[in-house]
Amino acid sequence: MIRRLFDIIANNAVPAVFIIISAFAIPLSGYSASYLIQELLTRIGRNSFLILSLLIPIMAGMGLNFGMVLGAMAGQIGLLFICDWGIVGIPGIVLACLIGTPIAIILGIFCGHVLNRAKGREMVTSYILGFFINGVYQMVVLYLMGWIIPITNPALLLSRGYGVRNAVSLLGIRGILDNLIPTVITGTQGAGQFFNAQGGNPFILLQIPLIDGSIRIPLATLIVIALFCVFIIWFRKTKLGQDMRAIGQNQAVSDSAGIPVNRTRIIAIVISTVLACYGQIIYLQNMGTLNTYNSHDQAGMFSIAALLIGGASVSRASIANVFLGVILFHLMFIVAPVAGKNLIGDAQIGEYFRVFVSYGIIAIALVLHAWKRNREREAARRSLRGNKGGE
Amino acid sequence: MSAIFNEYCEILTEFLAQWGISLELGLLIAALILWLLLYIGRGLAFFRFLMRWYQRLIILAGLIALGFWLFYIGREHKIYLDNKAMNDYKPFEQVNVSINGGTSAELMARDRDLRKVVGPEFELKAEVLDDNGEIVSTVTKTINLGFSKDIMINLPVLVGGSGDFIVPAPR
Repeated sequence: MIRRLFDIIANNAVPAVFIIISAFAIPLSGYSASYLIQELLTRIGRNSFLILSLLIPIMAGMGLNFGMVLGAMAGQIGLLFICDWGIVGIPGIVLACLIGTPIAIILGIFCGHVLNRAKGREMVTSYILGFFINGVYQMVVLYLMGWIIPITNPALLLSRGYGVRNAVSLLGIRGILDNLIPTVITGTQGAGQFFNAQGGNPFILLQIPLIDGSIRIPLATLIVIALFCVFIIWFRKTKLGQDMRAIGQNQAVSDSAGIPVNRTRIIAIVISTVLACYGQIIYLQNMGTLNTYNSHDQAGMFSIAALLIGGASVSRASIANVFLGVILFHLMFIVAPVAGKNLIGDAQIGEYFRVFVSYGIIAIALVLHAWKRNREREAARRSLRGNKGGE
Repeated sequence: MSAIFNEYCEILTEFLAQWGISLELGLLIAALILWLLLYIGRGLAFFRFLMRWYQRLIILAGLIALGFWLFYIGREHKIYLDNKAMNDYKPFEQVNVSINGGTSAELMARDRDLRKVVGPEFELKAEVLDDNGEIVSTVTKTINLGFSKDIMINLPVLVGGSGDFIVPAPR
């Protein structure tokens, strides 16, 4: 009984810690419920697609795909081209995806081949591979664009005539997907104010008396994310999905059963990279600004931190972990600085605390995973000896 | 880009005209031949490998075509509205211009304004006003930009009825 309780706590330690911290920080921040819900909905729409792209490599036993930054870079290249050509709106987003897809596929194949040569050390390899490809990306964007690759928009180019500026405005596609189906929830009192401010009616309006003010819902983005979730559920049931799960359980047995292990692992990474490319495009259309040399840097780290905070591990992750993770991780983002300011008088302290806890959690999750794996190995060894007491 | 595409279409039309076939009919025949090849290929084991490549090529061609279509319909164009003298046409005292029924731009003599449109085609409505602010004449024109990016429209030439009202946009 105690052992079972200990197992439950050990399995859910990370989300539990975050729920407790949030429970203390939310009242300290002084934010209203409608503000927090609005912020969380925006951030769920912005980040969930990126985090969901991590699930397939975990299913294939390749751990957390730090190489997703490769897909993010591909998405950014697509966005740079549509900015240069002046393509706006939904066609702009789709065209960016279309341009980014072949780049992401090529990078994914490359990443898959490298990871097949580093079996058992996929996470650190993909992390370093991200740095390597970042160098190539910077060379392309900083030296080749505007020189060999034609970029004609002077607003994109550096004053020297080649290389892309550090900050690129995505005004043409900003919030396009989020506002495609304008949906608002208002309280009965907030409705009039909302209409006065907007000067027009949203497509869907729900009135819930408990809500103070109005909450905008990025419905189209949430629909895209829901479709992606359905895709993952369906994909798990396909032959390829089953192969990936088998490989995730045991590579040697899968190989003996006739599953092409290396090929399947490459496909898993390619799918993850392509989806990360789309995820980065969705993320940046919400932000409205592309930080050419840094936007992709944190994509992997933030997504992995959120997934781990949601209770996932290196070998096991579900859709529920993604949504719990993105809520808890971003709740900390919203409330920690203000809670720190209200508690100590300095917002920076709260921010330091958030950074310390959020990234410390990655280390804790990895240590917990290693510890649990060792414990399971020890238990398996004991059961083989037929000696429960370990004597 | 637009000029190259138009030129290519003209060449293709001329080529097909030798047999009395229009461009649309030619494309239909090409699609039928492709389908027939695919149909034959399906039945023969020898063509199976080739068939996969056909399918991939068709998907690739479809994606490229989709890319071109998105480029065509999603491009934002800067439209410079110019109320200056050109080719013996004098500027108007005041002309109000609206694009696609949007808010109208009021241009006095020698004024220039900028509007942005999305998509290859837009409708421009120019209302020429006299000194008393009464509308003297109204011109409505649908303009197709094709693959070109930014243009400048000289309003006196447009209202005057000459066809050369589109001039290169300033850099």
